[in-house]
Amino acid sequence: MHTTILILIPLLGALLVWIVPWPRDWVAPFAVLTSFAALAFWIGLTASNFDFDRGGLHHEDELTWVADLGIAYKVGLYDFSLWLVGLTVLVSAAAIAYAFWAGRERPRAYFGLLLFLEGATVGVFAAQDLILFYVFFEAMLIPLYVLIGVWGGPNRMAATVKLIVYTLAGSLLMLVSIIVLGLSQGTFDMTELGRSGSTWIFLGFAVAFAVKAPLWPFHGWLPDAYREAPPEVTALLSGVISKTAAYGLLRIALPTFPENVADWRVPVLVLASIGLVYGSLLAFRAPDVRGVVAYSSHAQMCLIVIGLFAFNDSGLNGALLQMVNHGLISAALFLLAGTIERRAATGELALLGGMARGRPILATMLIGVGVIALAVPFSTSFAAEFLILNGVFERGWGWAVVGVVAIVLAAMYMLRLISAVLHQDVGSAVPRAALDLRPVETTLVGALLVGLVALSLWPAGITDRAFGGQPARTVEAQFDGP
Amino acid sequence: EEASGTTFWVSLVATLALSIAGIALAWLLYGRRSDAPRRVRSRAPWAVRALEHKLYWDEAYDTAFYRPSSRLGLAGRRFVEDPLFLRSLGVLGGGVRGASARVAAAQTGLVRSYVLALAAGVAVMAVVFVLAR
Repeated sequence: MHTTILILIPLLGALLVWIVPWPRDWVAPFAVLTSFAALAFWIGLTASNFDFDRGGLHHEDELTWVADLGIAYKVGLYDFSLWLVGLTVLVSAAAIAYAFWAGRERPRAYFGLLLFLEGATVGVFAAQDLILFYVFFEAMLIPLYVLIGVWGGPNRMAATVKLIVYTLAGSLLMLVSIIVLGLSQGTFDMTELGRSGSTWIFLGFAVAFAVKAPLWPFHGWLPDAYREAPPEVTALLSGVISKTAAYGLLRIALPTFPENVADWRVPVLVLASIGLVYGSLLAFRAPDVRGVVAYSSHAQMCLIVIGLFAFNDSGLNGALLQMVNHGLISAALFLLAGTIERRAATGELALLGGMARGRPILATMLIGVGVIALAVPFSTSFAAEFLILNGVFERGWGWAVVGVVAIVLAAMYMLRLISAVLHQDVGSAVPRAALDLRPVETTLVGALLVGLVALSLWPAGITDRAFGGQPARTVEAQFDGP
Repeated sequence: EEASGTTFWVSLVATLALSIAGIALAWLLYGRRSDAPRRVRSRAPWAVRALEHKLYWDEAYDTAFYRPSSRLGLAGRRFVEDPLFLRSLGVLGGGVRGASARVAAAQTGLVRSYVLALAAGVAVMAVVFVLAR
């Protein structure tokens, strides 16, 4: 029941927030407590109840839904998906706590939607039935539509429509693929799926995940959505929800369609390489804080896809580690963007500057996260990117050259962001009275930064506890345990 | 292939010697009050300028990396991202709206229009079947 409990904690929390006639001031604290309860449960699960030496599915729960079609409520956790669930509950807790701190209109609706989003995302990482996976995958869209469409910025409706249209178009292709695959194999159970050589079914999945990640050129929804959503929603969108796409590629596409992966490796690596450099260049010249982080996020997701499609131990380990890294980094950066916007009423870099003066905590946080983001040696990002480049080098040295160029660009755009916000002359939009990060803000961003520092000291904490130590073989064996 | 012990020690000693020589030279020039810096500047202004500009590494990086990246980034946003990706859905939506308006205009509400459309559709299908045979 552990996995089901992990999914139900935020979902039940959302239900209670919506149904129970709380006093208005109680809603947000209850949502924060719920998210921390989920985090605590995950910590307990990981520390005491997860046997990393035993491969295969853990904490499996199954309930038959439609026996004739082989559809069931089946959930469970692999060692690698455990880390992604941990990322989800940690970032969700930080995001919900930030929303509590910032204060949002109509808190009952807002916090209920955030909790629902958390539950649906955990469900994606835990689902072991294709139909259930699809249900959770689509269920993430519902709260996003409302959160951005109602609480977003001035251009929120355009951003929301773009996000929904892009994602639905991809998801519908995935639905067709799921139905055809499940019916042809006689089961929708992801642990019992055999291999398939169908190009069209593979592309249905690949396009859906390419839109969600997003991979270039399917990223049209990203800039507006990341700019218009509230900062904590953007943190979730960039930090966690984009990882469901990478997870889908890893859990479904790679093991089920190995021949198609080999056939389409070069085109996918080309698109990912273009996106990596393109996203980095646009991040370098983005005019606002969120633009820099948004395009950086796009570039990093392309790098993760490169690692996945290298499809060897090094690439897969690097991709998983970078999924966790990027989740923490982008969540921290978007929360910091929110703190900057609260103080300066804008994120335009031309109007910012000099914010380090009298704000040492903000400076420390932004530089700390930024330096790790640009993959300085000994950081966890460096470890992940090195693994990815090492993995893709085996597929061709040219791919690694592109990756190296992108690392240089990453240093450029991240240092530009740091310098434009913190250094130089004080920006016209920065009031002299703007305060440094408050204790709550420091704690939330600091928690994510502590996670990054811990991973920098011990990246093997994840890579040695994922895929049973043999990533490529585990994926090829379709995650079957011993 | 690791450097041999001799190579290692020679490199180490040479590096140390150069570093110490540099510090000594700096002290001779600037550490005690002398006219040496002015004399060096007058005799070899180009050398002083190059050293003050750190052998023009910053300018080289600027020319090789910063400016091309900046131009590419701005061009990418102006000629690719904005027109192709950010406005694409708006163009698509506008096209759908236009097509809907035209289809809506074709809805006359007259039975004879729909009968004519049906007859035309049947005629096309008949031609297709005949040709396929």
